[in-house]
Amino acid sequence: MSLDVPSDNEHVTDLLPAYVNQTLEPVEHARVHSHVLTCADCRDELARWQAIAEMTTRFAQVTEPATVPSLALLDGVWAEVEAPTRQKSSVLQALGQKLVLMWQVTRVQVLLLPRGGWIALPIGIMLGFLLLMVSNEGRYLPTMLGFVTPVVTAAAVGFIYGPENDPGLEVTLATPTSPRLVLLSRLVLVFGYNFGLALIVTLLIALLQGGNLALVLSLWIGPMLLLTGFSLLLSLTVSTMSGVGIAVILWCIHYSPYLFPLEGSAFLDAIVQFGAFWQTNPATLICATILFVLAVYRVPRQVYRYA
Amino acid sequence: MTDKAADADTQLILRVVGGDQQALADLFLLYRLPLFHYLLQFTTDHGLAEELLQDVFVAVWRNAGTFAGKSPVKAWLFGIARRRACKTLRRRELAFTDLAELETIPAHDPEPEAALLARMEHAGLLEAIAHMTVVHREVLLLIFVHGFSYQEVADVLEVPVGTVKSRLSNARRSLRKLLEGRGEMMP
Repeated sequence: MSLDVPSDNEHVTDLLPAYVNQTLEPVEHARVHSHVLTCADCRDELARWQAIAEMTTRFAQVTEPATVPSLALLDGVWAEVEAPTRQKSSVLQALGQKLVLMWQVTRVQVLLLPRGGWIALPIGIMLGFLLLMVSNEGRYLPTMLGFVTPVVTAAAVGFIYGPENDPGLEVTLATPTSPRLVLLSRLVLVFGYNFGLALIVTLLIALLQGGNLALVLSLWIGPMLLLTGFSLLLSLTVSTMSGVGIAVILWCIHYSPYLFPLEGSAFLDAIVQFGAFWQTNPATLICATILFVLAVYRVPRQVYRYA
Repeated sequence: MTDKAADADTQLILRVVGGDQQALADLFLLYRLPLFHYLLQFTTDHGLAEELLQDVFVAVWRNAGTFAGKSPVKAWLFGIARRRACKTLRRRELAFTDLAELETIPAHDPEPEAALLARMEHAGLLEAIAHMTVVHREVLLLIFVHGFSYQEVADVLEVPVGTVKSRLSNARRSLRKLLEGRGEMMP
């Protein structure tokens, strides 16, 4: 409603369109009626809505189709009803259709996601990487990669969905596209983008320092999946800042022995135990999958309830 | 819509569930025009709108048993029509909504529409509504022309009631922006 009308609970601005079209319950209608009699602001608002209602009705009258759909259309209905059921498409065809839809939705999400993110992510990864490299005099490059990439990815994925971060969400929900599909496509985009960047850096490290490529990959793939799963689920369940914040804290705790060497303390023992959780192994991958599935199911699928 | 009319509609649906073709024909006669008019919001192609209308009644025949009675039959029919239109337009890659709908509508709203409307020509008003996005025009039409309550609009659009209210508010801002864009001076 307009800004010049106070939006406290006493005003009835939200109910005025329903008051104009007389669809309020009698008690509510009477409440709005008596309020409007005594409130000049709401009276003004009512006049505006009455004007809009009148204009919309005129528009409908003018655009009303000149011809009524013919009764012959019903013959088409019966022909369709009695036609043999179309052969169901094969599983492969159905999968192909879903992939095409996913591709279309993903393509649009590239435009809807904040453009700065595509530049900020590689800069974030490179900055973190450079800072750690400088502070460690160029040593332990693979370990640094293992620190930076999961936390940057988890932070980025935490921001991909929700009214806090998505000004176009209302319009997205107004379209027939499933919100779950929107989330999934954004997840694939942002995670895939980070995964690609990390892969490029891994290959560079392998070229510069040699060593086992699979070992370097294992330093970040499992943790990246698990931490991102945590971040996304918490972001959708509690809030974006909680999801991202907790993911960063968890990751700093895990890497605290590298950042602040504490030899022989009970805290260090606990951290080492905690570290066993952040590996690339089947258990981690299963946990990450569960987290992603739970996160995706947090977002409703637009169910076609009737037809 | 009166309770009596709503009950009569529900009876028709029950007869359709029982396989009564005449009941479907009666429903068609009652709602062909409002549904057709509604479908024309999504496409200007009358042939396609007729095709969609036919699809709606095929869906009603096949799915009448799923009518739960939570909303009136009219809202249920509009909901089916909307889903059919969206599905078909998407499949045919025809524009249903455009990126202009993603524009944030400024909340600044200092002058009353009523005064502005009073000064505008009839044709100008109609042109402004015609230029609204489907999402915004649709909610105004559902409320002020088809006479749905907020809950019924929410059922048709498959969104929460709060979203219906915010969409109405945005529709109003959008309309105002369009009216101002026509260069009409405020009193």
